[in-house]
Amino acid sequence: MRILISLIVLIVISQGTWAQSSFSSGLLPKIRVSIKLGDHLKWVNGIESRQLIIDNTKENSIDYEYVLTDFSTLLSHKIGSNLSLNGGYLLRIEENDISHRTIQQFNIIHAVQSLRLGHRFVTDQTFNNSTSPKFRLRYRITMEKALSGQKIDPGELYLKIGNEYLGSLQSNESDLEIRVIPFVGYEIDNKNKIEMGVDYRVGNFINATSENDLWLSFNWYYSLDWRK
Amino acid sequence: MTQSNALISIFILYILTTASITAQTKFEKEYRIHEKDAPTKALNFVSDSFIDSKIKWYQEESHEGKTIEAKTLFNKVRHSIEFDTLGNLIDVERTIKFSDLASLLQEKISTSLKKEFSNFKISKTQIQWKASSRQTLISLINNQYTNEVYTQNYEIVLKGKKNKTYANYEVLLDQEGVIVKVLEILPRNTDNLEF
Repeated sequence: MRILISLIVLIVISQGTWAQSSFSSGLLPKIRVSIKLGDHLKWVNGIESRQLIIDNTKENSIDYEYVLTDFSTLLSHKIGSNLSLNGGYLLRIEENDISHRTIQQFNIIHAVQSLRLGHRFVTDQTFNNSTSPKFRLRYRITMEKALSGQKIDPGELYLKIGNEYLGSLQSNESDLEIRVIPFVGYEIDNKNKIEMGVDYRVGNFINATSENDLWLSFNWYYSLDWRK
Repeated sequence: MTQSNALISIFILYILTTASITAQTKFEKEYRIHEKDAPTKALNFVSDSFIDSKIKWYQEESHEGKTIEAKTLFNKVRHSIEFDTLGNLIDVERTIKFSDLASLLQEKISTSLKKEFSNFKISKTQIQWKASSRQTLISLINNQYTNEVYTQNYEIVLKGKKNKTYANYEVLLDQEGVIVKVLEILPRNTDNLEF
């Protein structure tokens, strides 16, 4: 918990030190429902919404604004006890603009003593009518640790910290975005988990004026078995 | 004994022996407890065995009931000591590299595991000691010679392939490398690390 609070304080303090940067902040709730279809196959659906509250590039820097909603659907195929290949589609609705994204993922999950580590490699391609196609290459490492005992059991709190690197290419322009994602989670039971924390993103990293986003995130993961 | 009684006895014996090595699933819930909540007998054993070591105490619930566990790093090696809720010793486990076991034992264990799994990769090996005398276990922990009677088993966590499917297992073997028990470790949901 102390690590999480320290990270949040560090991120908030850092905003004041980057005068040349843009800064926005808001809410980012997310729901993921995974349905087990077979021993090696599951279907994962998600909905994620962004709501802006702070934007220092606007005259009224503090104002509520609904930004967008993402609907995603992925098929996940387990290819080993700790490896999976996933592929799917995301629909983004942003005012009157609609984007389509195709997604390919490769995941590795492994344990190191009492830690669980997840490595996620993603390529995605985003298309819409108003901008050129965008191609991204992403890598995320996530660490998860029980706050009581050596492994996470139902009814227990846990700490989850993620770090993601996103390279993108659009109209011959490349960019790098870095994300730091500290969360506190609670495993309600074997099917339900809730998490709360911040999703801090530094974009436009290669250029002089970086973009800083700090989202207050709430995640709910629900899993069920189609066969039962 | 009549012929039918003999057949029933053989059948029961067959069921018991085959059931004992058939993979069951491992259920275990563990949570940290304060030192003051640990039984006095357990506290005394640990303070006599691991001088100047930091001890973490846990309560564990499994298919075998509730137990108390002390975990520590002693002489740079991980040890865990399991007690019943009254503080009576159940066993002591010491983590060891599989490659540090005697060559002959490594071969015996590998042969047993090859019979059980078509492919496997060991991720953790522990020596498990059981003895009726606490002094015997203290001697073993401190690498001192003992001529007292004790049991030495090996607990191995591995990723194994059975029926074309990989899963994680906890395998208990005796000192001759013969499999005593196989427990499948049920995978935890990993959606929050993947998506």
